[in-house]
Amino acid sequence: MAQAPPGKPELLQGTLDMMILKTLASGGANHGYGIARRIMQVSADVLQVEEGSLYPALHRMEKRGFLESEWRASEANRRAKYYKLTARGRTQLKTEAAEWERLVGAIEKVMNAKAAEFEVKVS
Amino acid sequence: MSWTEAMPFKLPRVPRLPGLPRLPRPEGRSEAQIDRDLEDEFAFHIDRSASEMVKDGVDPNEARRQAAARFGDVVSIKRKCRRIALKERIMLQRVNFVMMIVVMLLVIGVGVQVVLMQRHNAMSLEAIKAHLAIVKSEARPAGLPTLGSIFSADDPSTWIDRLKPGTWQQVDQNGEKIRDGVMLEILADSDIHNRTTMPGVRSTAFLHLPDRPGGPPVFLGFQSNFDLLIWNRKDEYNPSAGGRWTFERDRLLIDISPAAPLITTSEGLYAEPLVFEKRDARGSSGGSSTTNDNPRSPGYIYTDGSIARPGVYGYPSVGRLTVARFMAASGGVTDESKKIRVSVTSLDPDRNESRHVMLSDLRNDPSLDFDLNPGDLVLFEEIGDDGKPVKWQETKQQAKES
Repeated sequence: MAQAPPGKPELLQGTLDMMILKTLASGGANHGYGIARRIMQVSADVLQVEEGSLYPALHRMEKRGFLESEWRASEANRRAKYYKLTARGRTQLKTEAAEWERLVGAIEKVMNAKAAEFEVKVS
Repeated sequence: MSWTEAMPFKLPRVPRLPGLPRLPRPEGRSEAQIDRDLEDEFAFHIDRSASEMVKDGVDPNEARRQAAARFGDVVSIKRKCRRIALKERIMLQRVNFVMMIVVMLLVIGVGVQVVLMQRHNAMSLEAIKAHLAIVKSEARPAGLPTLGSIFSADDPSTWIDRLKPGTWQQVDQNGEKIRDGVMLEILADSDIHNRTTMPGVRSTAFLHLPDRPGGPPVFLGFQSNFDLLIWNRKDEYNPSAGGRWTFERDRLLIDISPAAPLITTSEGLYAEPLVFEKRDARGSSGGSSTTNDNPRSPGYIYTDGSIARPGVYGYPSVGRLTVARFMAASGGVTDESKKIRVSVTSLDPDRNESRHVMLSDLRNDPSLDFDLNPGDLVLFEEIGDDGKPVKWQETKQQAKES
């Protein structure tokens, strides 16, 4: 993964798949460019998905049955490959979202802990 | 070009066995189609990205350049996606390739195993043959020829010549003499008068034991397959009940079957093999010189044919024995009304002569009577209208038919 530009934090390992699933679950079928744009818009331009990671992730999740694709005409009447979530992908999204919640909660606890909580207790 | 495309042959599809879980389905598109789809997908992305920049006022060419730069290394991304799409196919191709190698190795292994087994069997067979040859050579005294190398069914002379000399003596297994003056003479069935043999024709031998003078002669048939036939002159014989004969060194071994009724005696001669030696084969050893000073003078007269008492008669130690005297001593001819010819054949190989006289001529002219010699065979033959012996004609006819 290339070094992220200043002000653009690097995506955490494994979060790209979850964000793609979430984007398709919320916004419906979309092509690769649209998915990347949507993530950037929703994150207020903080998260910029690199194409070098996006397309291998899309193809990998399609192979695993989380997504399915079809070629159809885009808004500009160009041939584009649209991805949409499958039932299996929806289940996977729930699983990954729960894990993410647990991880964020744990990180939040660590970050909000007071100094006394870091003292080593010897029994 | 991938390594699978570069292969000079097409890998076979692996059929799915029933009951097994379904394997990941390989990508159905061709590799060229996958490449085209990836290129289209990336091109759409870059075009859309450039279009957005153009809307924001960026020069189209610059927008195109920036969009391409932002997209990154197309070749690298394409290679990653391509590998994902073809993962199962590559895996199956590798499995197929490995299986094909395994099958080929198995086939080669089985082939090599078969060849090795055949060679091993052949070597084992040769070893067994060699072992058998050793066993055979050890079973027989060294230097003795095998039966098959001496005797040939196609050439009776190879074994008949060894039987032919007339006087033998019976010995025990240790070579000690039991009886002397045993007569053994080969005559061919087909031409008993000329004492010749023909290939493939059964030959017969007289066998007479001297302590049974006057007894009925026993006839032995020595066949080239070493079967022994026994019958009397009434042609009563049982071919399967004869026995076996063979040579051991210079000895003739006759193993008479207990089932041969024509030679059964109170002595039980059949109980052990009869062993005979040529008297001249042992020279002065073995006691032969004590019984007969002239081994070529058998001392017996043999008679057969239309005579009242056929058989073997001891040659008188003194006086002459003529045809007329001998005919009277043996009971006379069986039917006076028949035309009879007296044929006298010497069984002595050195003399090898034959004389004939018609019985009617002999009666009319006593001067035609002549002396018999030891070892003569006297046949009283019935003569047919054509002037030839009736029995001789029948035998000749049978030989022609066979």
